[in-house]
Amino acid sequence: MKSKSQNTLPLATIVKKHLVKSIFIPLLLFAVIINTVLLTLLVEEAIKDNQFLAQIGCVALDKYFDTAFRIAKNFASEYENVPGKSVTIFRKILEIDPVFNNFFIVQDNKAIEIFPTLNYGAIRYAANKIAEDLINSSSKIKQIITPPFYSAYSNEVSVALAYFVSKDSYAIGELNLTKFLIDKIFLSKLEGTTTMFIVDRYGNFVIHPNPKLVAERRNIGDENWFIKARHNKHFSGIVHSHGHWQIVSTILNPNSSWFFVVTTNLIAALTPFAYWILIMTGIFLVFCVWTFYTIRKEMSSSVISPIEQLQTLLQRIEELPEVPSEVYTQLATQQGPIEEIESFRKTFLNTFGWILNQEDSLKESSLRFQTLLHNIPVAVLIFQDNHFIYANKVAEQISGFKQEALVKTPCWELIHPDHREELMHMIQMRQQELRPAMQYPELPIITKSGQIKWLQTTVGSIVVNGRPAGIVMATDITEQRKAEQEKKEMEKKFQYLQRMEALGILAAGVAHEFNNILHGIGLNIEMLRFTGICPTEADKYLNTMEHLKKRASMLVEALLTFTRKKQSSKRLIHAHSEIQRVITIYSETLPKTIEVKTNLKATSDTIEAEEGQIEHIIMNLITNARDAIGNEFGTISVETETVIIDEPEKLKLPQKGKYMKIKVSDTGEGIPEEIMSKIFDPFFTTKEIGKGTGLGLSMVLGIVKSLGGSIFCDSAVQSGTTVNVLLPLVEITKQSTTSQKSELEKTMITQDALPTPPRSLEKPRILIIEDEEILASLIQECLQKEGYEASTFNTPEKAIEHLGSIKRTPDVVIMDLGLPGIGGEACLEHIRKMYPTLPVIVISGYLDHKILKHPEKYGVKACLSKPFSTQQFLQTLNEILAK
Amino acid sequence: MLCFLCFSCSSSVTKVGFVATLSGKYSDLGVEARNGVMLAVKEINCSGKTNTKKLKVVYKNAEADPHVAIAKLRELKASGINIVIGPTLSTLAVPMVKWANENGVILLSPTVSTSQLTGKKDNFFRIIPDTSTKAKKLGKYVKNSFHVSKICAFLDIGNEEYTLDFLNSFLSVFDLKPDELECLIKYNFEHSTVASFTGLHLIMNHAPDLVVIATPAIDAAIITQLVRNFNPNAIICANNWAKTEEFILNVGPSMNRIFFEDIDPCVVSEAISEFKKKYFKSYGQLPSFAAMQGYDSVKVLYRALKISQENNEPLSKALTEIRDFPGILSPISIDEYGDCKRPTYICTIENGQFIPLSRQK
Repeated sequence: MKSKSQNTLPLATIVKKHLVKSIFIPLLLFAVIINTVLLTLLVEEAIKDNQFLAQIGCVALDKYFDTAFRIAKNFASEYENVPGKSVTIFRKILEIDPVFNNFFIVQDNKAIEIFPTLNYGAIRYAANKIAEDLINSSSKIKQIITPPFYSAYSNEVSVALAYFVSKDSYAIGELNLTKFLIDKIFLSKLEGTTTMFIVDRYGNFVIHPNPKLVAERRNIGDENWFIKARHNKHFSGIVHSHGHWQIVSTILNPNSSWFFVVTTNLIAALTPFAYWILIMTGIFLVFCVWTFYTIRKEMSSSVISPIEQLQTLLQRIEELPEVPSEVYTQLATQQGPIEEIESFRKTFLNTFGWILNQEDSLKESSLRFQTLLHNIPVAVLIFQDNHFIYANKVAEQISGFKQEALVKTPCWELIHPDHREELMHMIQMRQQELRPAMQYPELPIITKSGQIKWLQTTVGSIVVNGRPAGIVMATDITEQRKAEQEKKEMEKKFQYLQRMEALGILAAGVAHEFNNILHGIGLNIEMLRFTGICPTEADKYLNTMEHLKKRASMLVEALLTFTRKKQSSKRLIHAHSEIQRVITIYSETLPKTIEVKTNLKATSDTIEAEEGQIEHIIMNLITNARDAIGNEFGTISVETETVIIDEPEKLKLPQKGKYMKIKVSDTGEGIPEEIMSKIFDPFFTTKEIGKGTGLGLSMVLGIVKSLGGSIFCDSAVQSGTTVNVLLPLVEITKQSTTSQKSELEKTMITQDALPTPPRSLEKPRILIIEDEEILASLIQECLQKEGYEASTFNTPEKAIEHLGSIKRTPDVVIMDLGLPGIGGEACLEHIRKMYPTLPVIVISGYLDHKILKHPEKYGVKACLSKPFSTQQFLQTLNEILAK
Repeated sequence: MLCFLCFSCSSSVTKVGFVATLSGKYSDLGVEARNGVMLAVKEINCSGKTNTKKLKVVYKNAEADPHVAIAKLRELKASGINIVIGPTLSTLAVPMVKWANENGVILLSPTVSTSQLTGKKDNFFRIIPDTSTKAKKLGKYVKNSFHVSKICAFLDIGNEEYTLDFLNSFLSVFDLKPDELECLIKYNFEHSTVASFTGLHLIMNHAPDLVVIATPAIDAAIITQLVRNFNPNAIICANNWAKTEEFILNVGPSMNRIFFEDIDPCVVSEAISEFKKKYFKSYGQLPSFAAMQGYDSVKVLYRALKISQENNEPLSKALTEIRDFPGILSPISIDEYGDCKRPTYICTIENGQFIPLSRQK
């Protein structure tokens, strides 16, 4: 029922609106236009009437002046030919009287009076002025009429006419304006809204129904309309003069240069017609209203009511139970109309059912679409005229704006300013060139909170309310983009690490081989010294060789430190004493131009490090500072302080806690920004060839990293360089300090006094497994010289076989790990199986081998990394034998 | 149109009245003065300067009747107008001034020169010296230059305030009064002309050697012609009322020994020439001194209004502060009594033209 009542309402409203729109308003407009046209025609008519009156007046003026000039001419001619004799007074009076009040002829500058007998000054004055003008004028003007003046003769305002006969002969008369024909016929008899009057070319009133205006010699020369009119022979128009709107028509009379003017008061003239028009408009309006209601009534009765009745009928039919088939069958033959009604009912029901289904489908589709838009995980926005008109929930979530706020905001403001212009341009181009939807893979927007979000966006076109609009579909790719960037960073880091790893492997391999070689060279030098076969003069060369071997050893050590392959035991070290010692030693080697300042103010200086690592760091940094200063005057300062780090990640440190900050700064030339990132790379150097290896800072970095610290460099060209090293401090309790100290002292003692090898009756038996035959023989020779029984094997298989066959087990086995055949590790395992208690000393150039890292796990008593000194070797051996 | 626009954008408008005789026999002065006023007002309102004071003048016809003139003043007063330019005739001036004093209306006359209003603290101001000054100057000249024994005079009693004033002042130099003259002819110009005066020729029986004429130009010309017929060497002294082109055109060939008193220097200056052109262009006629005086009266009033506004003082006081205002004919000053101080001249006629006495050959 509800839906049906809704259906009836619009129909009535539509009918009503259409009637107003299609009939009532056009009729009203028609009335207004008709009235306007009518008024315009009336004004036109009034102008025409005025023009007609002016023309009549002008004709009368012409006749009047023709007469006046003819009289003047005739009398002047007569007197010129026969002076004073042939004209009778009677004739003169008859002819002159209607036109002139006063008339005379001037000949040879002497006035000949004609009528009246007395010559009067005012007229003569005017006439003489005219005569002067005529004589002086270069034009061929034959007659002139003066402006109005007060005539003492006629006691009224008058004008004078002069007719020029020849240079010395002219006729002059004072025009009889009161007897003027026009005055009699038109001016005095015109009533109502129209006025006729005459003005001269200066705007002086000559004739006017109101004699006061003429008597006072009023002038309209300044009025705007007259300024226009005086330049035209004919003039017509609507003018505003003295507070009244008037229709004015003027015609110039060429004989007199007077203007015949007809004016009609516009409002007064139109008022009767306006009443008539109002009455007619009222009738018309009544007609319109009547027509409107009649048509509406007719429409209601002939269209709306039948439809409403039909609707009611349909409702009833719908509510009717279906006709039972038996009744239908019974009635089918007798009552044909029932079939028709049933058919009609079914058709209508089907039709309505179809319409309702369609409506439901449409609603369902609309709902589906809206649900889809609201729940789709993509932001959807529709914009028109630079403003959003729709935004789904995802768009609200991404932008942070509610839909209401988005609608108020110009859509371009959402775009990041750097991309705004470009995007506007692209979208405009797309719309102009009718391109298909465009994709913007990465578009930054600014959210409500000011955050920048990146969107993958597609912009297409749709039609909203019959006008083009844009649809935007966007996905937030901010996190994805961030992840990709992180991934790229990681890949970059990984590549760097791979490169470093490869370099480390290469360096380790090379170091291993070098260590073997250097070991051999070192042992040979020691042998040469020990055996005394070399003359004393050769000591110099041996020293040089040893120095070179040490340099080579340091280089290998540096390589291994960089790759962190070198492992040795850490101990507690007092950094200040190390730093002080390095500076004391190193200061001696520095040029006199360089001053070294120290300020070691750290409250704690205990650091867990390998022996010489601190020394290495300080020495490298001071060396670099020295090279930076060069031969100039400068200062190297070394400072320490204790710092507490709360945010270790910012300084690339592993943990919070107390750190010692070692600051080494110089006043040298500084490091250019472009190479700052490379200074810690291995083999990168700016020094001359032979002066630097390029491993100094990389080695320092390696040491610092291995100690759990970090290093930073701050430098600028011509401003010097400061290197800050952060190293973790060890918190030492009093007891532990004592124990550590004793350990330190113990170490020192051990270093100072080497244990002497135990001496027994039976020579200790040493088994050497070394594939490098030179090394093996050198060790063997060295041991034999020290009173040991040494046997060498260059493969593990031979050594194992030997051990299996002998009766007396050796006291110590010295073996290399990098052995051929089954290899060092398998060899050690066999030996451990055969003789679990047999002490084994491992010597190796592979410092990262697992056995070297955890020797006790594999039953190894001691490890020696190549190259080692004979003294070191023997000390280790003796210590083991002593146990 | 431009004028209309200028007027529209004006910030303030001062309404001024104009009362003078605009119709009838004495209307020439009034009409010309009115035309001069209209020209000046047009110039001021169309000066193109915005935010300056504009003038609006309401013109009234006094019809040469004191009652009408006062009625017109009353009308103007009722419409809120307290400043009036006029009158042009001395006859109207005396009763008008009386009414103006009583009603607080300021009168500024372009042409009234009667001595009756001289030296009085009232609401009457003028831009023309009084008749007495001019007439005495003329009398002194004649007395000093010629031997005079018999004096006759013509007097138009239609404007007696002026003509009698002129005659009395002139004769005072000779220690005479009008009734002590050889002969005195009085007539009323409004009702008749001197030409129609039947006893005119009787004057010649007295054979005067000096004839004083206090009449309009036409009558003065006719009287001059008549006197010359009997005594070609008689001296003619006339008031400046008669000093017009009309007199020269009517007087004929006997134009020697005729003297006038006037404020016109009888020399065509650039200002006079310019004004004549403007006037002719608007009205088709050449202006008389009345037109120039009408024009000057508006300019003087406008200057006084400005002084009044600037110094925040009454207009009556501002008018008395006018000094050496550049009038068309000569500089104008107004004294504390509202009387005009400006040069006066004695003119004569030579070769059909008025010339200053100094130029006479």
